[in-house]
Amino acid sequence: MKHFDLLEQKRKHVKFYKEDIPPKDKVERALYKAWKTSPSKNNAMAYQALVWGPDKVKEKEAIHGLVVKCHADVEDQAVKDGQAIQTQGAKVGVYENPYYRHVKENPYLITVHSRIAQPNVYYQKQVETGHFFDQAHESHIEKIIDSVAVEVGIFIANLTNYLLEEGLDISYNSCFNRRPHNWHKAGLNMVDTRPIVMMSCGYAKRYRQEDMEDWKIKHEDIKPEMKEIIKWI
Amino acid sequence: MQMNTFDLLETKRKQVFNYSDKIPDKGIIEDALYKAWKTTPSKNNAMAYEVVVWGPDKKSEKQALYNLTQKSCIETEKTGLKEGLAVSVSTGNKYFEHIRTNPYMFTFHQRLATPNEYHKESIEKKGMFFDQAHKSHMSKIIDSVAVEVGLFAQILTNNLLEVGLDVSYNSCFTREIKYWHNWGLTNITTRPILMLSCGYGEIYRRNHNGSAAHKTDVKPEHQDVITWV
Repeated sequence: MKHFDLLEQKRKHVKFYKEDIPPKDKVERALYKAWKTSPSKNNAMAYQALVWGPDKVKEKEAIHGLVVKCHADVEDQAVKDGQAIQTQGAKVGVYENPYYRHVKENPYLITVHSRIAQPNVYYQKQVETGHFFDQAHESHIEKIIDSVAVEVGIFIANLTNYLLEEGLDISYNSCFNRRPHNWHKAGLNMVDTRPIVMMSCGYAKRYRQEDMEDWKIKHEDIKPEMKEIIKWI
Repeated sequence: MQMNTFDLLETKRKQVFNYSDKIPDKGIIEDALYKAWKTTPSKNNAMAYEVVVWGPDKKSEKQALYNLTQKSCIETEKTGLKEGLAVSVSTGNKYFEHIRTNPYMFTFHQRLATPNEYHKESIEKKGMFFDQAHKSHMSKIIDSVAVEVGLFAQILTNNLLEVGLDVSYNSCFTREIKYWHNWGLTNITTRPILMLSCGYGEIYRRNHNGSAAHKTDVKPEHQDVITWV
């Protein structure tokens, strides 16, 4: 199948997954291929992917709790800043955006975080002649976050393709607190660097677009026109 | 026969040292861009970025992008030296050549987004906050937008490789637009995120560098990057 057809036909945001657990080797194979084919500036790969498997039920609930709280905090702040007039009242067990459900109910969750990298042999020599390997310094994590986040996007794009090719579904989430100490407060002590993105995978039971179709509003939730995104100069 | 994604990337994607003079048809580029736009997902369907395309006639602008990149590289090294994190400053990087020899260059920049009908209603009736529409939030959401740019860039890459083109990335440039303006690139009004060049590769970095050096320039081990919790 052509790359375009694969994404057009297979990539759909999952509302919730089936209980069937995909074989671990399918996920391992996709992760290996994503690692193998994702390029990185200076071959640093200044990020790491944590994989939360089917047994990490409590941890996924904790991550979901962080997501719901982040949603609430962002809206509260917007009201305080005069940029919104009300909030949705997000709170665990009270109001949870139903489209975050995939974060806690999935067989596999992959969270991607910053990582202090070490120069390889080639770059060790370049450093001696004046190259600055900023990916090796904790003090530079925030300064290079956009560059690392682009690479994370490349990595998850590749991982997405490989998982779709294996017949799995995936969904992304970008709404969560970026500070590791807030993850620690939720009992997620194994996270020690800045989170960048999260991605769930499994076999979908229901897609978000099915809701949109049922409510007959699919035509309302569309992306900006191509001419707004692509500018020939 | 259609090549799967892994084989496509393993066999076709190679960092370009410099491009040949052959110019790909504009229609091929437009089609690849359309497919990337069509299939790249975005939080709240915002696509809070834009892709600026610099075609074959934009030679002086590409030279300016090249100059800006070399200067950024040296300035970063100076900062490293000042902070005691580097031992000297180089005279520049020879592998930026692809930035000025390409027929097509794509630069990605942040963009203030406008909510679609569905999200407008969520804002008005439910209290949703659409942070991609606020200038004051641009720097706060840069990592989230940059992840999406990475998604778009990879999908675009696959589309271009599938039709026999080469691509190369660059992430070494100043994010402050005033410096872009200093080089005459005054059409840039928002934070740059990524550069991606495209064309037919003439020399690849791996060939230019020599096989011995290529063997030592390897990525971190799989277990350094992927951890099962």
